[in-house]
Amino acid sequence: MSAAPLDLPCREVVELVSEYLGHALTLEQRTQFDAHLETCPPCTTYLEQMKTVLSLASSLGKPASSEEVTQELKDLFERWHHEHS
Amino acid sequence: MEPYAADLATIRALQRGEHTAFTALVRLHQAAFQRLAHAWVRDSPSATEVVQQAWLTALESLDTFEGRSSLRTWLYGIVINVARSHARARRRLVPLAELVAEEAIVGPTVAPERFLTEGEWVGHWAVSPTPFPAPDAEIEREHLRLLLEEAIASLSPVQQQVLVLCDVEGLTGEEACNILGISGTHQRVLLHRARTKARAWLEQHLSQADELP
Repeated sequence: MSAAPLDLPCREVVELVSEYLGHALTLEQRTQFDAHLETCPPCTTYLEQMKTVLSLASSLGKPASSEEVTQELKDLFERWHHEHS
Repeated sequence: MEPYAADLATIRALQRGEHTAFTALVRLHQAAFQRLAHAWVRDSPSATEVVQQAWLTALESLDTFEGRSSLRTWLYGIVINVARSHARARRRLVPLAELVAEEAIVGPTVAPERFLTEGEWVGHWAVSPTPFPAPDAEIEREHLRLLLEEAIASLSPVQQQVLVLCDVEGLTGEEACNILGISGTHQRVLLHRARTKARAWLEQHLSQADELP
């Protein structure tokens, strides 16, 4: 490992991951962060894991409502409309 | 064109009693309603009850939708309010602002013992993260999704809400702030804490699976 990672310890890098992924770091912070990653495989792994969490979260299934629930909601809408028309 | 013209058109369709508009809305938002409700009431039957109540509240409040936010933002605010009222009726419920203030604390989110506390490499990993299995195969990805569902369920209600709104439903931080009535700083801290805990949950449960005979 080079001396570069000492500029930003891993303990601090992990706290910047969300802002890094959200492009919310200043240019200086981002440069430091990227320099750190180049020489730190564990932090690169950590970043990949956070990316996996985000990717999985955005792909979480949209469980289809059961027929029963869907029908109950349709009935609810009909009742509501009937009472208000 | 008004920013939320399509949403206002949906409102008018609902007011005319067009059930296809309601069915489309349910199809779009039912899953998010269920997740957001579940954060506060914690069991599926109660969450379903909350969701039905929230839809009814939304229908009865259509006249109050002014198009100042998106319909989605407005609806999610309603379901969270109904869920919190439901939870409040069952037990003492700490005010949201108090919960946020307690949890949105800036500080370490990863266990301090994971890092070296002395020597030349102080602050660097003592126990490195183990890479997750590559989620290429659909079966592995489904396993990770199930673990993430468990991880989300293990979070505190406020962390669940922020993570569901931002990372599952894809809302912006600003939209999440508007729905929850919290500051941008609190939203960012809560989201980071929630993601960090979810990652740790996955790491812990995947390593336990590796240790099985």
